[in-house]
Amino acid sequence: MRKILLFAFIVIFAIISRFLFIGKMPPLIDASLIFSRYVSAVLSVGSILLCYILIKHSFKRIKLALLSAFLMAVLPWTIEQGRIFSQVNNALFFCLLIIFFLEKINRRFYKIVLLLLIPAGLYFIYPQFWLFRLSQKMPNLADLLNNIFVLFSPDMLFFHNITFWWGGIKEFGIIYLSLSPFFLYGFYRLINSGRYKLFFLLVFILLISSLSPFFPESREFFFSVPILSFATAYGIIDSFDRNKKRKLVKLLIVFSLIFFFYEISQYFHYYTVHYGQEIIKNQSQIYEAF
Amino acid sequence: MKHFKNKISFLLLLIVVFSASIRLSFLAKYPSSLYSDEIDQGYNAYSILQTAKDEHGVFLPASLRSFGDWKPPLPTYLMIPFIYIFGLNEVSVRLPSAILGIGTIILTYFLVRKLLRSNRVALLSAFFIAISPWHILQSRSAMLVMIALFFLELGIFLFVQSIKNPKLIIASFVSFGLSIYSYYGMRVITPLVLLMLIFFYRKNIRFFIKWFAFACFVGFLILLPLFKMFLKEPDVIFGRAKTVSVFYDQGVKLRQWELITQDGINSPPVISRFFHNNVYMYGRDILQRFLSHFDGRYLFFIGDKSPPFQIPNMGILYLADVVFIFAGLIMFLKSKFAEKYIVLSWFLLSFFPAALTFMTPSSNRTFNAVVPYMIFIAVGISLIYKLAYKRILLIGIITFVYSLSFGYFLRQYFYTLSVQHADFWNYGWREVVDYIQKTSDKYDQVVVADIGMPYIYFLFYGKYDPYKYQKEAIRAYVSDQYGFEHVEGFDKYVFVDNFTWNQLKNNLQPKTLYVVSGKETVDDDKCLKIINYPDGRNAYKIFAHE
Repeated sequence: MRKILLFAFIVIFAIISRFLFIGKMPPLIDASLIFSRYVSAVLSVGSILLCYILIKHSFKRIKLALLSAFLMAVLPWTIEQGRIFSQVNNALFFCLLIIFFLEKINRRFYKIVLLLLIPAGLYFIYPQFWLFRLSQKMPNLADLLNNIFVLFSPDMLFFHNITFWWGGIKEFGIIYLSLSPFFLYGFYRLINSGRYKLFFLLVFILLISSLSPFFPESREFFFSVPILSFATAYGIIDSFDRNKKRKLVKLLIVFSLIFFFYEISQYFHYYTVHYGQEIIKNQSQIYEAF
Repeated sequence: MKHFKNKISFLLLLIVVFSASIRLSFLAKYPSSLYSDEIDQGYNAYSILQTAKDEHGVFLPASLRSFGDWKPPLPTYLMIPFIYIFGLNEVSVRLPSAILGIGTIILTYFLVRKLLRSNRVALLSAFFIAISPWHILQSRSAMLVMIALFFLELGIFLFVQSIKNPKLIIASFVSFGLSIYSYYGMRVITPLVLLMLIFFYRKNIRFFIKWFAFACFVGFLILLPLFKMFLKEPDVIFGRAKTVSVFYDQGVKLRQWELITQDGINSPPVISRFFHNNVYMYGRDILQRFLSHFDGRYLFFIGDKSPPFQIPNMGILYLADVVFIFAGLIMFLKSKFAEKYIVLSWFLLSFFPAALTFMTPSSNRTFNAVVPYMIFIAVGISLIYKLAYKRILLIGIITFVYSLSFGYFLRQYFYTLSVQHADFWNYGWREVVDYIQKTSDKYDQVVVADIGMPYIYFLFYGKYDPYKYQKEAIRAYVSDQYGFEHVEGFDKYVFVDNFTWNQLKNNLQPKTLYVVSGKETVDDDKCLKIINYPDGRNAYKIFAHE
């Protein structure tokens, strides 16, 4: 019962945080895009649900699935992308949906068909993907390494997300700062327990994003959000479970989580008060309506 | 067993000889010039040797006044014997750092062997420090941190050894005390490392509590001169820390003001205070600066951007290190050695002082992390070696990759830095002083543009008599906007701030020699000499009105 309530809370939170004042925040530069914003918001909530289902199905741990879904619902980047016309947000939903079907379907033929559907679907849903716009100059090896280090830097992860330079929220990173110890610990625990698949998937996404000729606007890194949410949730649960008797560590964990909720309120304050002003200030620089 | 021990000793000897050859050769020439901080220590050591007083006339100072800052004195005192033997020159100034740099390599071997009980990891750690660009750069310059690292590491080693031989705890405290006299950052790091060691060995210390208490007393005695000087001049403890701290920088304050303004006049003040308060904004800024030291671009790609600590186009670590640091760190965290917490704490504490300053990431202020980093690399390589299917192939690949990396570093350090970026190290003053000394008899006055504290170069390269200088120096002891104190002149030399050719060309004094930046355009008929950087750019121009 409690888990159902928590799940309902996450869904309601996701819906409210995506739909409330969606036509006003951020300022709507092109009125015809309001429908696209609604589509993004629906698919953003859908991605959260799929994230929950996939983790629950793969790990058989409801608590972990709930926490991962909650983190995905509150992360700065998912809220930002869920309230604008965002192709990458829609593409993430599509990819998660394909993975969901891949998990559900047993017949190899259908699996191959589904896998083939990914590039075709991405072509229609995410035409901005750099792979479909190969006329741009590709980064050389030095640029590639530089991009990898930037995208996976502490600054990008916890302080300044620069993948949407003029229109995004550069004041926050991909993950809240208060979650950084749990993210690092969760990642360490995942690797330590031999779950390399997620690690390699993250490396793959990082590589694809770093190859983008549009760097630092490597929006493809948005595909990593479910993995980052999962690793952080894993870290929170594992650190609680392993330190049940250590009062000092437990106190630190509780303190971090209080700070986490303060950061969420910071984010919403920034989003509702400052973000709109920044957008209007940068309006002339934003080359695409959203 | 005996054969094995001999093999280990032989390999260690090879590493030491190799590291010595890298650290001791061509010390005067590379880096291309003495940086102002190095030369300042060198002349003060010379002054203390000659007069028992520093350039300000302070008798055996416990902290050296230097350009408006206070420098910890130990590195300067360590230069004295070398200046006595080899004279006042670049080699004498840099030798203490180079020798103690080699010392840290030997110490690392013994410390790692003691902590991790592995000869292989100990040897690899020593080897990777020997080839570390970060360590070599600091070993070949007198920038304080090398001396500080040596005494910190010696203190840790002796502390660990004292568990078996309690008397060594006294030597450990002496060494920790000396580290505090070596570098400002150690005034934060050393007490924290000491507290960590006391906490870690708290059960063992109970068995030699008397020795421990005596060591504390000795440590107190060692720090007494510093406390005494602190009573006279409070700034000696943390020097210019005030002007480089995050709280001095206006960036956070300006952003805070901008956000509060954006909140609007209708927003209740309590809301602005809740969201844009100092605790959150500065706390976030400090954490950002702390974590900036783990940015891959800084570590493996572009390094420290501050000129004297920069090796062009490379990081402070090799690119290949990224794999082994990652593997080593995972392995390290997994291992069951309790002593791993000593290395991990040492590693994390190394970044604390730097996080409180606004010039980050900083390789100089976090230099103590070099040893833990190399231990992680050694553990990583050791792990991969154990897991490898074809070990010979692995050794071949690692040797090849590191040979390439080391070769690239040597090129960047000995060629690119010295030839194309000689200005990073204030190149040219030696040549200016040499020229002026040869020609100044014809002139009554030498007017020098005050770029990078030229007075100290004239004192050092002119081997100016410290007795005379202490009496003649004209200085107001007033700091400029950056916290620097300038010398206005001595003897026939006058140092003028913000002085350019355009200001002076119509008002040149007779029998006066002028020195300006090489960027100034000076009329050809007035220009006597142009000092060039090794790559041909103009460094300084000397002219006169005959």
